[in-house]
Amino acid sequence: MNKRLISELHNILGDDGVVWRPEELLLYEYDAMPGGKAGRVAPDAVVLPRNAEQVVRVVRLAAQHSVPLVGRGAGTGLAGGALSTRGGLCLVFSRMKRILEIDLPNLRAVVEPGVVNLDLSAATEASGCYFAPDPSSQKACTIGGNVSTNAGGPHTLAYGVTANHILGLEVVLPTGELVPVGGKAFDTPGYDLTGLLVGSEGTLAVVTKVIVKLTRLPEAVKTLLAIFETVDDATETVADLTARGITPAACEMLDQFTLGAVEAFIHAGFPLDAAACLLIELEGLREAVDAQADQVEEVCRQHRAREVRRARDAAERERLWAGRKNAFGAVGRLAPNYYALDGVIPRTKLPETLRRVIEIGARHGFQVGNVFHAGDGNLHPLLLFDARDREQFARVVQAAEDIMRLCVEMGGSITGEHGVGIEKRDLMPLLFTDSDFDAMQKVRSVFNPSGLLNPDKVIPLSKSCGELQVRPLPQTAGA
Amino acid sequence: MPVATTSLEHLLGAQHVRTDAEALARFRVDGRSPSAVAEPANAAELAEIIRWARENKTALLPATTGLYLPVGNPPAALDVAVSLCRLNRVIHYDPADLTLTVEAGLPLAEAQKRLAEHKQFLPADPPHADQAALGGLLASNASGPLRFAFGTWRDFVIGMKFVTAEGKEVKTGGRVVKNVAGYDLAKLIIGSLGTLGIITEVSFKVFPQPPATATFVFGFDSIEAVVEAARRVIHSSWQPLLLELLNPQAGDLVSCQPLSPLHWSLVVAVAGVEPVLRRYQTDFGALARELRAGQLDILRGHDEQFVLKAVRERIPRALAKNPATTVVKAALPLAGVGPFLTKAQQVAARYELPAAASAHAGSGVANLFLMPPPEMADAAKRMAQAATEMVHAGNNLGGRVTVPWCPTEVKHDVNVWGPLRDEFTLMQKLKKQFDPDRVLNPGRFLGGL
Repeated sequence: MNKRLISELHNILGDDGVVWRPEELLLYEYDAMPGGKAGRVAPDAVVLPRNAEQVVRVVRLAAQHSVPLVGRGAGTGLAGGALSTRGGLCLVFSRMKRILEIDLPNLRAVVEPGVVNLDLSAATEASGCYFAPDPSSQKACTIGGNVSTNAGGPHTLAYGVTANHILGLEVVLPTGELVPVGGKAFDTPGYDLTGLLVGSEGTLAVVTKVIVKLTRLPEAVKTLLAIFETVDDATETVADLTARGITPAACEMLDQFTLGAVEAFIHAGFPLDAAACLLIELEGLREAVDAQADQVEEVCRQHRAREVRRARDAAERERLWAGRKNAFGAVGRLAPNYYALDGVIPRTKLPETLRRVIEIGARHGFQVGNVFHAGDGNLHPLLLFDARDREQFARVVQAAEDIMRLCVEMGGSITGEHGVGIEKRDLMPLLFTDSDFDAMQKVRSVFNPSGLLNPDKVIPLSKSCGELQVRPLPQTAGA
Repeated sequence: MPVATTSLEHLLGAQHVRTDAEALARFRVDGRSPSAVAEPANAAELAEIIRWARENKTALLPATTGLYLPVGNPPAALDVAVSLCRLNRVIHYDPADLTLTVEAGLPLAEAQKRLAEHKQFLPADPPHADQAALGGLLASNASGPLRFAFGTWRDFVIGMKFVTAEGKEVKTGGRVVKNVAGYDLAKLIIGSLGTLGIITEVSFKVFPQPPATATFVFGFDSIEAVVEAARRVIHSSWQPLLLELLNPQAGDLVSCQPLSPLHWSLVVAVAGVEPVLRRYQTDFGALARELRAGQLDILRGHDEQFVLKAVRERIPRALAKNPATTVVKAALPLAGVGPFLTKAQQVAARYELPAAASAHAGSGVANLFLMPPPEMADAAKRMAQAATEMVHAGNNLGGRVTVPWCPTEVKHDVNVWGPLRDEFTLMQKLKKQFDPDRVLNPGRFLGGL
């Protein structure tokens, strides 16, 4: 990267707003996508803007110099969406973390993209509201990142994904234009640009402000832990709950392997000898929650649940959820690396799919842990491996691909909430045709015609047009 | 200008290219009729029609039942209407997974009938819910009272197929309830009034019917009281299905007991098992006493369905009663509903226009119905001016105001989509990318998109 660009960045952001020494950039070669060091590309510089105006100036500068630009929140993404594949600039939003407005009468909040997901709920809880999307990384991940990936979480079962909670954005286009889209009200006339931008993985615009919907806290919450002797009993319970029209606020499954890992780490109170547990949460009016809890317990028992435990108090409930939300981390303690997959299937196919996922893992020589949003049919098989062993790494990538193919075969999708990024990019043709990619590319060419904004993501390279005028892409890890 | 329809007939068979008066009248928009109505049997035939239209510089009007055609600007060009009425199959229904895939020409009511066999439903109750077909409802982003609990189409459509102006079939999303693979083009197409592509197939997540429902109708003697009641419901742990506010004139328009021209009414429907409904009865009784409601009625069963339908269908009822009605829609921040309705009623009074007012109060969407008396000679002018003032009033409250239903003459003097904002440039570019020759519904959407 040329010295002039660095010095111009310093002019915009001050001395402490630009990270450019190679040793400081190493961190930004990674997000939470698995894989070893090989093929990683660091950005040439990381910039830490304090406000939208600085973002605009950085974006303009990047355009002038034709350097790629990648936005990044907390780096908790699992699909490589925030990685710089061609160097260039990485825009990190850790200094844009102000909650600009909490508008209680209208049940809205306006935040900067770097606000941590859980911090918004913490700031509004006393007023009886919260931000409903709750990705498991919510203690760290940012709302900007949630918007970028259209993040989910356990409670999306009842409350919907991030897109259902975003009403407006302020974005910077790659030309440096600042454009507000949507607003505090619903039904903005014209095309639903907010809806289009949420989940576009930073490939269309840089988000500098987010208008979110706040949700009223429920009057009552009940958390049930249903314990099963077989995985099939647990998955069939989920399919049956769905078929009977019982919609809990969350319905999560953890298998024996994951339960063991979590207990060793969190001591959440999960049984170690069960084949699977369902963590089911019910929310609403007291009377509704009571009735639902009885119904859920009955269905669990019909499917041979050994025990259905009801959390007695908030402390027990929080322990159970801590166990669930730290499950990836807990499993991560057992091996040098783990690969958290993200696939979706129709819920009627859960029992069969999970059996075949375990078979695929075994065929490639991997133990598979399963901890996932069962009520949505959103699987998260976890594969343990050692990325330093290149042969093993290649095998884990193959196993992941086989599992994704299985999800598609079952009528599902290759990602429910983590995004496509680099990780799933080349699997996209499993779902989409050239015409479909052409339509996506049309959208990209409207917002990001130069392709400099988050290049090499989402659309397979052979399907995206417009050659980038930047230096050639080095060999990537392939994950 | 008449269009040579022989090649269309060759494509579809002569019986599916209609030029009879009845067919042409059905797809008449703002005084203009198409010269033919093409009825493709499937997406492939639709793609052929579009390619043909593009080659022949022919403007297409996509439609299903035609019930929502009054919404939008007068067309910039209109040659051939494309009716999707033959694309009316249920493609895939998996009751145990609560997912449904249908073709765009299927009437909403047919989908509901099919879902009801398994005690499920689509939580969409827009005006014309009993007749309108899904494609048109999605393209015009039509919604009704249930949006309070379930959102709008964008919140429960999980996948879609559409044909582009290039005549290519495009798929987005899928049949699973959670899916972030690729850009969410369904969000772009929903509410785009057929200007970017023509929807052929839609997948939904559907919902279980609640075990039981009850509807509470509060009567208040002032707008302040009814707005306060709505506010209390919105900012509570209660979880109603819908929250509808009607002024006395709207009560008269809906005209079924216990809604009446004597009160400002708040209609609140709730769902749940019997203990939940009893709880609401207790809570709402207390709320009514505290806020000094003049009346509180509880409806169940047939009476309840009758009233909910009347409330849902208030726009078609107003238009049936007085075809000159102009409906102004304000999408506002929640707290803007009361101030907007107050202001809008003052404006209507100043122009001596009888006005009914109502709102999806929990969603911040207010509707003003201007219903001029037949003898008012300059009604169109007055309604256009009043609507323009309401557009400004809504803007000042942080909302966006449109005029979805009005006579053609009113459209000459008011911008029915409201003012343009910065984001419009992006919309223009999208239109240019997707439909450079302006074949699809030209001119009818925001800013003439």
